[in-house]
Amino acid sequence: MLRSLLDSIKDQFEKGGKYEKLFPLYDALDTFLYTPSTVTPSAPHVRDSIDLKRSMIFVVIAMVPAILFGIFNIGYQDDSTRTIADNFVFGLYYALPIIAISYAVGGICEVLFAIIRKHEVNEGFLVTGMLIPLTMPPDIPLWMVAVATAFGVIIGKEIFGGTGYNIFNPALTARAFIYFAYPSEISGDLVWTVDGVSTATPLLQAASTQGSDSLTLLSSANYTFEQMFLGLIPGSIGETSTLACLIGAGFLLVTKVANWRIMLGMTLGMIVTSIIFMFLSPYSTNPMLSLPPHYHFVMGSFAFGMVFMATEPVTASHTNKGRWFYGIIIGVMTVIIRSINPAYPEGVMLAILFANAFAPLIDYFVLQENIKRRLLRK
Amino acid sequence: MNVININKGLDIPIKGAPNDIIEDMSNSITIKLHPSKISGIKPKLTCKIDDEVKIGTELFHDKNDPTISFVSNCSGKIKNIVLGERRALDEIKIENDNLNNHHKEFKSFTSSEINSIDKDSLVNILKESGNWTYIRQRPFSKIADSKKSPKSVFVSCFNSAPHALNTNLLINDNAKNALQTGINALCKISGLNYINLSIRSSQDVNFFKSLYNVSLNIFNGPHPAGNVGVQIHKINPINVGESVWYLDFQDLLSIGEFLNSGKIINTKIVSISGEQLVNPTHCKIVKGTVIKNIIKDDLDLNKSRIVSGNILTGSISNTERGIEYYDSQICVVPNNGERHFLGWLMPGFDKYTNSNTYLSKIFKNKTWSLNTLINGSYRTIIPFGYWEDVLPLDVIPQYLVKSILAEDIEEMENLGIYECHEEDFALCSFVCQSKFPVQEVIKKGLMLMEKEA
Repeated sequence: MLRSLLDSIKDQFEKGGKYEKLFPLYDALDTFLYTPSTVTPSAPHVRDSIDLKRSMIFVVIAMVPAILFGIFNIGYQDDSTRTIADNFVFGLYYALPIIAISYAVGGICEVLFAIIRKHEVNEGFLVTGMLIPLTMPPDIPLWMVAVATAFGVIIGKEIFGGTGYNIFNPALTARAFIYFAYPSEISGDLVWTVDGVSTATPLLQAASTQGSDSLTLLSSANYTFEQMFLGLIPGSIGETSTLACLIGAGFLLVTKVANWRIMLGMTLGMIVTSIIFMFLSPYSTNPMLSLPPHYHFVMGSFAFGMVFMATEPVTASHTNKGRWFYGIIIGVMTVIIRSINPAYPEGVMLAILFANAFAPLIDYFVLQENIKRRLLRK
Repeated sequence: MNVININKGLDIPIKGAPNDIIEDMSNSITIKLHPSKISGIKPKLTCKIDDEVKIGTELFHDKNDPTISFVSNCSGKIKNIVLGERRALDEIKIENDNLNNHHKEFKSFTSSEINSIDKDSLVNILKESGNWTYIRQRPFSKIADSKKSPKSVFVSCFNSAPHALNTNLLINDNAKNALQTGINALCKISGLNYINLSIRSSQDVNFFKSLYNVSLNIFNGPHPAGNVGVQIHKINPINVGESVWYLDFQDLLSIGEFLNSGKIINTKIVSISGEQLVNPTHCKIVKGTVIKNIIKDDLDLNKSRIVSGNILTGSISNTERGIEYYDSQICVVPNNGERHFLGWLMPGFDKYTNSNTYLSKIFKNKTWSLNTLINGSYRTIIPFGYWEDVLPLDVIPQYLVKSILAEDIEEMENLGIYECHEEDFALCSFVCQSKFPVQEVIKKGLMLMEKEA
């Protein structure tokens, strides 16, 4: 019945129809509800069942553990004595509006651009729309989410030509925009838990006192490794639980939606750099230098950035060899920013944006190597 | 003997594979040739309607090189000639009288006699008999230029494409003599000491080992391991300004048989496949037989697509057309794909994928029904890395495609366009989640290069 309804209104949206301009909207709805009827125009005459909708929805599914845990954690950080269900309901109260705003604003931008530029509504936004809320602290003013989302989608993506052409990860562009535009509201210094009481995040705690040791500082604030691995710590909605992110990572790797080279490269880069820093730490008063790799892994948004942000295929390197270097650069830069930059202890966001900017250059070198090999074999 | 293992690629497990029986259908009445579909030539007609032809009578030749003849594969009468847009020679229809002894005579040779005749007269015999047209060259896949010597000659002795002709059916003791004659002839005309034969380790290795003047390479792994382009790339890649000759295994055999007997081999074995067929099989046909004389099933033509060639690289055909000149396979693909409600969300136990995004992946060793739906929508390239997983060439597909779209000739050359042929990229189009026509873009790139050269 739904099918015949859609078919009956189709000609009004096609060329010459009454709502011709709104065709992208009709097409998005039609193909959302039913698999498209397009047949192959030429060889290959058959195609794999995967499409972009499937790939993108799988990234969202991979985020589900992080979303659920994040919602629970909002309540848990507010009052850890409540029941799990109560924490969850409390968290929903804060998280749902942020998610709704993000999807609404981003969706409108996406559809508007699709109509004006006459291209299809791209599924990439399914992912961006969920990533943006997960990088926000729970008490972020909703108007800020709206502004950031619009900025991320328009400046981060659409002005470059839409999904597939963007240089920077749109969700991170949104996050960076807030960070630089409203530093007093969302600076990396303190995370504002929902009741207005600010708590220092583990990363800040570890960097707090010069001349001290990061692990001592962490334990003085009662942050244990387990706690941080599970994610029962203050932070942005989706980033706190390394476990939830790793479940997502497992899903993305098994389904081959995310590229394992980037994740592994990033982890290796982080481990090597932090070990080098540990050797250097006796010669410095900077407490962050002494932070061992496994702590780096569970603190801040390292896991979240690795699984959901760095693996974004468009803004990463486009060659397999390049993906290794791209991951390594992010890992190295994350530790450098976290340890050496005193102003901002969270380095993942900036490290990924930095690597986004360098991804084409990495590919350039991979290409030159390929070209050189071809010339040499003569 | 080199053994090369190909890891990247994909054998698509499609229903409707042909059995290994050869049915004789070589007495069909209607033969059609479609000269305008043969790439790289400008056909010039040399016959007219109502002409009586013999097997071996020239029908048309290439305007660029009039010595390259295309000959009739049956004796009979030319019933019709169809010219298409801009007077392109679309179709020559011949009524076969099945008088198979009615053919043009040529001198016959043994395999050792080939070594002693001079190159030019051998070239002329091959050209006059239409056999030269089976020898093609890369880059650009056109008929070999007899004035230039190639860097090497390649023959792939097996097919890896889905449901392709099983070449083992052609191998027997009689074939050995013909094969050796063909190989000696190729060495003679190319001026090389040996030609490269590529086989699978599952084939009769000793049979191939007993041949002379060959360099044997064993290729193992999934499709496109059987593509000659992949084999050239692994053994002796084409650099700027070089050319490599190649031909089908079956064509090499028929050249050899022709030289041995002095009679043009007018038949070939083709595979017919598809889940809608009652009896997907192999059959022996006169070259150019119309498809309705080969596939006799009662097909609903609105719900099936006839493809001349394999499903990855073949061209859309119909029952009234002849099988295309270089093809040895006909597939029937279901064209009745349904739209599924919320398909992107469903577990998809019945949807074949090479990615791991449908639960169908848990069934190993199952064959699947694939239809003509693209199973998605056209999107911009999102580099998930799926292309690279099925492309066993040392080229970077993302950037090669981009350089072609930008028409950057120098970059295309640098990135190895000369080593590419669109058929090697068919699997990239197949697995692409954005349904990007990689294969067509590569073809466009090659055409641009050829124009530039």
